[in-house]
Parts: sequence; C-alpha cells; structure tokens
Amino acid sequence: MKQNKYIQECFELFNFSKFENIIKNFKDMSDPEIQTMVCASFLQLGEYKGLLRHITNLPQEREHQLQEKTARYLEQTKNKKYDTPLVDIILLTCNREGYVRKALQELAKTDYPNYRLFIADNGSTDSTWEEVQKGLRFFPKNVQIFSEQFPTNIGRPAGHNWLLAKFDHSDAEHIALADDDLVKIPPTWLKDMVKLMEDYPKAAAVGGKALNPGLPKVVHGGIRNFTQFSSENIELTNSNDTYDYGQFDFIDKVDHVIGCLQLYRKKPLFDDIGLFDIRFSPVQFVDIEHHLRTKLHGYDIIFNGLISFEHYREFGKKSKNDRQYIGNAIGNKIKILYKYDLQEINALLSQKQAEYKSWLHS
Amino acid sequence: MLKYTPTFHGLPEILNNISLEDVVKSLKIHISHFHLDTSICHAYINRILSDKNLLNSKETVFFLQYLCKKLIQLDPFEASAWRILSQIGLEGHDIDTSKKICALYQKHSQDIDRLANKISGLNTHAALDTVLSHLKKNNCPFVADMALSQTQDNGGQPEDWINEYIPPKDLVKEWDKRLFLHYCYINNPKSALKIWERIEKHVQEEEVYLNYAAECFIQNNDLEMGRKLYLKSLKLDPLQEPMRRRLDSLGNGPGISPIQNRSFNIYLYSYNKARILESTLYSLHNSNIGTPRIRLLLNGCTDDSEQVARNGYEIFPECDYDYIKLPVNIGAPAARNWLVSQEETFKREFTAFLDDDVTIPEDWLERFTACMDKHPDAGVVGCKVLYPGTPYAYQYLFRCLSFTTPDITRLSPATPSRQYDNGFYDIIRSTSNVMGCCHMFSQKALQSVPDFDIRFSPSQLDDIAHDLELKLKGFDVLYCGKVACIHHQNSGVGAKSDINLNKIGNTMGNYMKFHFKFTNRIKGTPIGHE
Repeated sequence: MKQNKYIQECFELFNFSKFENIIKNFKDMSDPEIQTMVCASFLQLGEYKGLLRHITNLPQEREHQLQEKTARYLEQTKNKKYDTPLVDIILLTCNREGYVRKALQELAKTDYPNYRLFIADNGSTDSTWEEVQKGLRFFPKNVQIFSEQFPTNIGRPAGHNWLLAKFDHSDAEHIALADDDLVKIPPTWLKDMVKLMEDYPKAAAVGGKALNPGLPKVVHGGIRNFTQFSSENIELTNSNDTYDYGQFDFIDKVDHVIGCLQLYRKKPLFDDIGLFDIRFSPVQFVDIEHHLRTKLHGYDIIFNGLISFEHYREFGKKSKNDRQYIGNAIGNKIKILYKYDLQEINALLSQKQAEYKSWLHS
Repeated sequence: MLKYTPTFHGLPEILNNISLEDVVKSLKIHISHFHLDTSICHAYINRILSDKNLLNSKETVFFLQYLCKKLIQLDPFEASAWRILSQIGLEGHDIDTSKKICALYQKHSQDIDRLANKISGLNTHAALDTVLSHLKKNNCPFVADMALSQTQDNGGQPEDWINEYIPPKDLVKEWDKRLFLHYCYINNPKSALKIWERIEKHVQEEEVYLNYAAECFIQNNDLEMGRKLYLKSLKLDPLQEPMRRRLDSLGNGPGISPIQNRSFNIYLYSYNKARILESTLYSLHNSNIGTPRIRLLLNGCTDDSEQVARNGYEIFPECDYDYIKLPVNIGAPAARNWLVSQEETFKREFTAFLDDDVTIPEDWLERFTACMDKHPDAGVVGCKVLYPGTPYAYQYLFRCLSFTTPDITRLSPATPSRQYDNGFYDIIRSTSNVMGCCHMFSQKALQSVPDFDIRFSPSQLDDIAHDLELKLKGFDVLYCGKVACIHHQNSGVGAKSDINLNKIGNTMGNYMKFHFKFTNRIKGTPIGHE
C-alpha cells in the first residue's frame, strides 16, 4: 500500500470500521488505495446502491468490477429467503490450550440454526482437551456435539478425514472446517457461506478473509490464485501478509480459500473430490491440493472477503524461520508437482481464466 | 524456491553435483559398507574421470586405480576398465590380457553398443532373449558377458546356453573367471566351486574372487577354508571393511537369547492387504515368540482385513492379542505412533514392529534379543531384508548418511545393486539405519524417541528419520544379518512395477523434508562414519 497522509488517515478509519467517515471524507479523492477503502466501506455498510452509483466514476479495473458485481448480487439477494440445511462443522485441535476455548466460544456464537459440531483432539500433550470441554459449554443446548480424542497427532489431513469418515454425515448438506485458533468470527459467517452455496450451485467450497488478530488489520488469507504451476515452483497470489484496506472485500471465484474457516458442499466432497491427502501431513498445502482437486472436478471455489475472521495461525508464522518447516513446505510442493500432470493443470487454469472473464462481465 | 538437488536421482547425477573431495568421501563410506559392484564402480569411475582436478590428488588417482582394478575382477570383460588401467598404469597390471581384451573390444565395440542400446529399457526377459538371439550371430565374449548379466538379472535362468557357449581359445581363463562370478552372483555355490577348481591358481592375487570363493566354501560347510580365503583377501586389500566384519562374524554370532522370561510388544499395522497380512500372522505364529503382547492396527482398511484380524485371536491363543481398527488410513508414522502411545508399550522390555507383508525366520526374536543383550547401547536392531523368489535378492540391508552438503543429504544405498544373498552380509554391525519392516526397539530407546515423524506420511524415510533421531540421542542402530526377513513388497530384483510418478514425488518430497530436518543437526556428529 502506498503511503501518504490521506491514505494513512483513511486507513486508520478503516481499521476502526469508521466506514461512514471514510465515505464522507474521502470519496472524491483519486488515490486508488483510498478508492478501494471507499468502495469497501459502501459494501461493509450494505449501501450497495450507493456503491453502484459511486463506482461509475472509477476506472474499469478488475477490483472495481468485482466490487460492482458483488454489490449488484447483494442488492438483488437482499430480501431473498434462504434454506438452512444441516451443516456439520468439523474441528481438529492439537496443543492449543491457550486458544481452543476462545475459538469454540466464538464458534458458539454462530447464528445459524441448524448445525452440529464434530471435534477431535489430535493427540495434545497439554491441557487442550480440558479447555475443549470448557469451550463446548458455550454452545447452545440444541447443538449436537461429537468429540474424539486421539492418543497421538495423526496430522491435519488424517484428522479431518477421521472426522469425515467415522461419523455419519448423510443428513448434512454441507461440511464446514474450522480451525482451533480462530480468535474472532462474525456470528453470521455460516449463514453467509450457506447463502453463497445456494446462489453458486457449481461451488464446492466457499471461504472468507482471514486476518491476523488485532490492529492494524493484516490479511493472511485473501484472494489466492495460481500464478505459477511448473516444475520449478508453485506460486499463488497474496502469499505474504498484507495490510487490509478492503482490497479483498468482494466476492470472487478463486483457486484457493484459506482452510481455517471454510465450507464444503458435502456431495461433491464425498462423491468426487475425496478426502484430504495424508501425504501432505502434518500440514501445508493440504488445502491448496484439495482445492486443486476440487477445480479439476469442475467445481468452483468462491471467496467472499466480506466474511472476515481473525485467526492466530501460529504454525504459519513459524514457517518463515523454521528450517524444518521450510523443508516440509518445499517437500509438499514437490509432492503436488508429481501428483499432477503439469500440462493438465495449466490447461485447466487457462480454461478457468477464460471462463472467469466471461463470468466477470456477466 | 530453495536450491535442492533431489537425492532420488541416480548416483551418477548426484556425483556430478558434488565436489571431487565429497565424491571420494562417499566412495570411502560405500567401501566401508558394501562389496563393490560393477554399477557403483562405473558411476564413480565416470565421475572421477570427468573431473579436471583428477590428477591433483594422489588419493583420487589411487581410488581410480582401485575401482578399475575391482571392475576388471568383477567382470574380466570390462574393456573400458582395462583401457584406463593401461593408460594410468598400475603395478602388476596384466598387460597381455589387457591388450587382448582391448583389441577384441575394439573389433566388436559398435555391435555391442548397438545391442546395449537395443536392450535399454526392455524388461529382463525381453533383454535376455534379445541378447541370446544376438549371441547366435556374434559369439564374441562381450555379448556372452552381456547375456550372463541378463541371466543374472533373470535369477540365473536359463542356463543351458551357458554350457553350449564356447569362448575364444585365448580367453578361456577370463571366461571361466566370469562364469565363476556368475554362479557366485546368483548364489549357486555348487556350480561356482566346480569352476573354482579351474581358476583357483589364476586368481590368488585377486581378492574379489577370494571373497566369493570364501562364501561358497562357507555355504559348503567348510568354514576353515572360508576363513583362510578371507584372510588372504584382506591381506591383498586391507580396505575391505565388509569382508573384515564378515571374517570376524564367522562362528562368532551372538546366537540366540532365551525369551521365556522377557517381555515384548509386537506391533503390526496394515492397509488393505488382507491375504498377505494373514500369511504374515502365520509366519509370526510359526516363529519362536513366547507369549508377547501383539497389537495389529488396521489403518482404515476397506478389504476383509478385519476378518483376518479377528482370526488373530485363534492364531495367537496364548498371547495377549488384540487389534485396533481405525476408520481412515492415517499413514505409517502416525500408525506407529498410535501403537507406541499405548501405556502398555512401556511396560515391556522390547517393542518389535513388523510390516504386514513379511515372512520371518523362526528365531528372529531370539536373535534380536541376543543382539540387544550383547550391545546394551543399541536402541534398535533390524535385519537382512530380502525379496521373495529364487535366489533371494537383497532388498534392504543397512544405510548411513553418505554425505551432506547445503544442497544434498545423500543416504548410502541400502544394498549393493542387483545382488542375490550369498552370505556376504550375514554380520552384526553398527549402522545408522535398518529397515522398518522387521525391527525391534528397546524400551529405553522408544521412551527417548517415541514419535515417528508424521511429516513423512504416508511412508518413506520415516524409519530412517527415527533411527537418526536415536543416533542423535546416543543410541546405536544395529544390523543383524543373521536374521533374514522376506519382504513381499515390490517383489523382484530392481522391481519397478509399483513405481509411478505419484510415488516418486512422495519420496522426493520426503527426501526434501529429511534434508531440511537433519542437515544442520548432524553436523559434527559421527553419523555417517560408521
């Protein structure tokens, strides 16, 4: 983000969600960053018509096109009645005694009326299991809870697979994944994700924007699209943390959404895409690979930056300096590269890009 | 992306990526572990010859001569090795034979190159057929030599063509030597000893022949002659560490320890291999195990493994047997951890792990226990792992770190290449890794390193990483060649049937993880120098 006095001022207001002030004071300024915050403010306030009027004066850039598309969609669906099919939320926890209770407390605020929780302690050696018990007390009585305790850490993919395979999810329409270190979740998250599933029938996965806890707002899970998938490397956009100035505050079709809070449509997950691949154990690239498989099966992945949550992400932070962690990441990249036919993937990505263009202008 | 040279590459590629100094270092480690074979000799000779600094180091020149000398012993029709030796000179070099071989090779080289290209990529049967039909058109000994190599890869069959083959009169001695080695390579000591009578007087200065002959005599129950030949061989080449160990081991094994009053866990985990799992359980039942605690973990099996697991109650009525059924496959390291994590694990003196597709000898547990008793520093003991079939080919013996650079962590090979079991490795030795399909840990070792690292899921390198962790904690890793386990996975010499890019990627990825996990931690430790 470029820095100048006005941008700085606007950014401060954005951090404190003073969206009205932003619109009032900055809407006529030309800095692209400021305009991003102005447009995001309209969307955050639900002033979709206002945004649609404002955006006609802005350059036809992809970001504004997406904001406009999002505003039109949200305006159209403002009064639509949505079903509330059963959602099974699965949550895996390991050695998060300091976080898991809070994550459960936040999840328990979910305002969706029809969900169940499946939780497994993945071999914690600290007091995580006790904290889980405390956290579960926050949930309303009508929420069915199933819990498991593994004697050892079986890794993220195997842990999620366990929760998917051991329990009967036949009544559920969707499966949500939630991490054990979510710090703040909007109660509407699930309602909003389920809505997207209904309105985007080709979507098999839906996700949102993940922020680091606290201020200033920093995004670690934004729009993630493949920029390189070659024998040399796999790269996705927005791999690094970046200040949140509303640059991801819209709905988009993407290649990957952060796995810490996301929703899968159950049928394609079980029938076509399949379980998570344990070769990417314990973590890293598990979800990226799974989303790649999702796309290979012809499904869409939808990102909605207006669903934002805070996520502690200790493991992710560790990666920058930890040699073993770096090795694990590179090792898993190699595994993906050999698992797939590069030509097939690149053909898919090109095809999706063409489809994306027509979707964007539709 | 960080620079990294995948260690999954073949030895030639790996050697091309390291310094000449490291090349020599890794060669020395190889020599301290294994008998040299022709492919290893070729890889090192080619690498050394391609280096412009070759002549700057006396040690490198020495090893170049050493390798060429071995190579012409391992295959008297290796014209290139003869030629190199002629060029660089070597005391005692047989100039007459060299001239004969080189001149004959010169005459046939184009034809042989064409034939080599033709069979490249063919399976062993097709390659052998091609070479044998070519032999009818050109009966030069180089083609016959190739036919022997292919026959070797084919388990020694067919052999009728061998009896019909008549070598050139002036190369009868070399052909006999080659034939002797052939029978040794396929572990047919009876046929080898018949030829030995003809070549014995010619090879008294050639240690490779003495080594192979020693094993033939040992198999013929003439231990004394075996000892004598090994002693002579070691006098000719004192660098032969594996032969020294073999000599020391003759009649000097740890034998067996009674196990009646000892306590064991025997752990197995299985994934969709019901039939072979059943054979494994019967093999375990047929061995002397006393009354151990046995746990079988079904790792998300979707076949009828659970029925086999239920049969276990009848197969092991005297033992504390049970099975654990998991709803999904959690991978090998996590499955091991699941078993280890049970409280009962640490109430037993030893914990053995068996793969679900092995055939084990009767005395495996008694011998493992004897090894542990004799080597109290050992944290784990493993065995000689063979492919099924006749003759038995080596699948996995022992490994150590060959060398490490910032870009590469190279493990030594697990076996010499394309070799059948002839007794060379029936030794007990300290090493850095033994195969995980049949190995046993002391309670103390498992308490010290209870976890197998799940980053190596679903498998590959998890056992090696665990053994290295034990080494870093001061435990020894023991190889016991007196126990031979037949591992039915990927059956066949150099079997590649089950290999695909997917699996290669998994292995390469795990090598990368391994490299980053250990490179910095093993600096300055003795790992790799056993």
